[in-house]
Amino acid sequence: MSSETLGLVSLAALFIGICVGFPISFTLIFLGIVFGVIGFGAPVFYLMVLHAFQVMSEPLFAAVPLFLFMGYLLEQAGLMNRLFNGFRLLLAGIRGSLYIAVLATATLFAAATGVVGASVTILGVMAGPVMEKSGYSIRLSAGAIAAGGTLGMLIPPSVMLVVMGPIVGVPITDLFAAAVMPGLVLAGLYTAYALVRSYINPALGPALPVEERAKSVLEMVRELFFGIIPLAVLILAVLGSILGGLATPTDAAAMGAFGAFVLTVLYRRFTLEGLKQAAYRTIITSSMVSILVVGSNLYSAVFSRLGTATMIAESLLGLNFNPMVILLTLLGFIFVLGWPLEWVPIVIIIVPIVLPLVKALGIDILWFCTLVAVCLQTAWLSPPVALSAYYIKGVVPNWELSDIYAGMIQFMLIQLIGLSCLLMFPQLALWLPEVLFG
Amino acid sequence: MTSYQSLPLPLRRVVRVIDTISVWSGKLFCWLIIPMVLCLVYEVFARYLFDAPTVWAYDATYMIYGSHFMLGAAFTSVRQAHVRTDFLYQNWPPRWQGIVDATLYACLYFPAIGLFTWAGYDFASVSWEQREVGITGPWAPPLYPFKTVIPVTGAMLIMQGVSEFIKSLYAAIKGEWPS
Amino acid sequence: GTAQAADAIKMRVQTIFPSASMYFGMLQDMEKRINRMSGGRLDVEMLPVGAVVGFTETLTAVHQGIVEAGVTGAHFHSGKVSAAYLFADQPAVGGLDQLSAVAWFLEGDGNKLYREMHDDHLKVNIIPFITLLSGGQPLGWFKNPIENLEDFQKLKYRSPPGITGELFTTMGITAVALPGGEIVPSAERGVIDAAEWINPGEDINLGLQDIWKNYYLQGFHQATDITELIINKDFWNKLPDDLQAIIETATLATITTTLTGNIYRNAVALNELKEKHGVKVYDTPPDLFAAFAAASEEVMAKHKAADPFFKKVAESQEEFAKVVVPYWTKLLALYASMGEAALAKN
Ligand code: NA
Ligand code: NA
Repeated sequence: MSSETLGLVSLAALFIGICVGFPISFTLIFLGIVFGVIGFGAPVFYLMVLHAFQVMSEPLFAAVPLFLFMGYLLEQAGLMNRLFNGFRLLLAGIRGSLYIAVLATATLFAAATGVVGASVTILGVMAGPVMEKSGYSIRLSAGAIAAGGTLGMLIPPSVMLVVMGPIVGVPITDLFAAAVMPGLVLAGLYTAYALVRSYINPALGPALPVEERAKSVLEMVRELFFGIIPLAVLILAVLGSILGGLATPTDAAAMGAFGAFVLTVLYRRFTLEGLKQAAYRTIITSSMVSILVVGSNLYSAVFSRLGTATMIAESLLGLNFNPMVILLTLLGFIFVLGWPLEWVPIVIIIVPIVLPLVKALGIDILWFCTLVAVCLQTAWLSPPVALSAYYIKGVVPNWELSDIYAGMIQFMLIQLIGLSCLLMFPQLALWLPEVLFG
Repeated sequence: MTSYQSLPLPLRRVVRVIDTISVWSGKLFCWLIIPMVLCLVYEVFARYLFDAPTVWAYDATYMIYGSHFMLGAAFTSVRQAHVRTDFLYQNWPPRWQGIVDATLYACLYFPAIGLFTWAGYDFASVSWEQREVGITGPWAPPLYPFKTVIPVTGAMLIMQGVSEFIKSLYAAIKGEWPS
Repeated sequence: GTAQAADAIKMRVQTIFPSASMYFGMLQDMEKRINRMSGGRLDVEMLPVGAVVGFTETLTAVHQGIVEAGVTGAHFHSGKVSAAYLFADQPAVGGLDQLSAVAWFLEGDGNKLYREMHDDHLKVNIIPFITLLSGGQPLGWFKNPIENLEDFQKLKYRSPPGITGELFTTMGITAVALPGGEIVPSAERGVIDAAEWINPGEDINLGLQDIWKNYYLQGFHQATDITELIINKDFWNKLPDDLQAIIETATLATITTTLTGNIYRNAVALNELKEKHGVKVYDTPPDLFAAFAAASEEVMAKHKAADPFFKKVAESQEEFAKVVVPYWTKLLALYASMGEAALAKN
């Protein structure tokens, strides 16, 4: 058997391993060893240790636990609640105002945290019951909460982009800058969609009853001020310093975590229990992601040694397909994988495998990464395997899962429109990095 | 934490002791995030306010990060948080889940992590022997404690694996997960 | 391409250079040369940095036999054995230049001590050969021109890691060690005010000329810089004598090709930097050399006291310098005078 074919066998074994449901990191480490012994001989045992040590010594990845910790701390500060209330009071007179409030809150929070779960859960907890009471459409509400919540992984800071950077060899700062516009465009599309639907059919999102509105302008202004200002300062400090070229993502993540801690204290929401929970969740997620990177680096070192990725790339190039067709196929492939898989294994395992092909096609890597990011975000909205749906069902148990699905599908279609825009206008992703970094 | 009353006594003890150790390791090492934040915050202030960057922040950051995620691996295991694809797995009866898990622990996990621990032990002991120092920064801190994290992580993962193996074996035999 | 014998012996070489580097190209020339000389019996493959392991792990990977060979710098092992530094870079003690440092290996005790280090101190299963020269490295890129040591001491400077960084710290300079990929972003965001990398031919790929325009050509910290081919001993011992001789000869040939490559390609790159990118080239302020010599003495004394093997190697180099420097420096003066005369005429 040629070594390229052996690589294909290892891919098949990996696919089976992943489907069976054993923890993916350990499956990768095992496959790396087995196929490494065939490719390198017994010394591959040592290669595994060298790769673990390499990931351990990578200061760029230190941004992962720091951004996680920042997000978990912010969650506790109760800021999201105040922000949502502020927007709600401000917009009370408008049809569909709660959709705007949910999406605006979600977008701002997306710029302050790097993950999805937190946003969806909290938005569900605070907005869900209010929306139901105000006679809002359950489907559209669930869709808006899910879609808004997923913006957290696209709009920087994003743990996904931090992990992607070193893997594809693109500076994290470039990835962050590239994701800003697509993220905002998507937020805009969601809002426009919800508003248009509410305008056509007022029953979907009636204006708030008078007793739900602010008692005075002062109350409204106060809520909005205390909700927005501190968060805006934190976002400006963290994202501004990264995109403005003042701090490395790792430095900024530490400053952000520190800032989030200060906010919890200032809002008198600091508790030792809360800090503990944030620290527990941080070590668990960081360990899961980083160990997976270790396993995957080992597997990739062996896999690239076998030459299979190059062979696949060359044979696909030999077919002389239009690059756009191949690109669409790749994105479709990644989107489909996003159904059963989380972003973590896709970014860490699949992206490096298809990267040689993308490079050979002369496709801009930064643009490609942004497209992948949007695809993976879309996968969060694609029922039936869409974690956001379970999160919402978990916090608003009286909403039917079928309604939640129906809502999410609508926003998934909006998402596809956003993705098409990005495909047709690469400048959406490439413009900001160009302006910032030349 | 589950009490595992359904497991026979000696096994119950083993599982409980192991899980307790793993949980406590996580509860201990999770606090490394605090010095990680403080090191970098200090570095940023030192650099921009006092115009005097530290010589140690760069090395300290990766050393804390690396120790944090490695030493948290067993805790992540006991909390079942190492990502799996469960779209098939979750629909299987417990007996099948147990059979698959027990087989893969025995044939895949123990050999892989065992070799990792063994090679990691060798890697760290050479470093101790050489009293190796880091050369990526001007600080030149000792590297051997940091490299020791690798075999320690391996040993903790093997230990946690024993507990998981017992649980899955029970599920494979009895057709239900121990509770 | 070269036809490979069916039973060709595979020799994978994990290097520390990215594939775009000019040195990687020179190593690929070496690869072709070995493959041809052996009539395809030895199939060498140079791998860019990170292909199997990163640059800090090359020694261990070769020792363990994960790859058969590696191209790396001995100073990267100085965290394990401090004397390793002296086999790659030398501080200003005896006055050895790049070529006389090579002479110490080939004519003096260099190669003997080099192997002693691998066998008895690093305790690795490796046989080392010096091969690639990149000495005469510039002091580097500066945001603003400097007049003297005092100006330099106000700056945050990216220096190479290890003992080289220690020399700068001893000179009172805030030395920051950053990996290659971090230098440009750090320069952009003001983490550093000055930086050295390799030499004009490599620096032009890094892109610092887009940020800073002041280039100081004469560095002293890596006036000599030697890169090595390290080979796993089990693999080496199994090679027939003629293949061993072919590898040895190829390492010697690469000393020549990198030396001539440095002279020409750096000159071409420097012209491009000046003409296309508006880079200003300066002579290094003279008081820096004195300060470096003083720092060298201090750092050397410290390491000599700490480690007998470091002392042994340093003293061997000093003895060798006492013999060759009086002669060789006069010859270098000859070339310098001739060059200056030619420059004056133009
Ligand atoms: Na985000
Ligand atoms: Na250098």
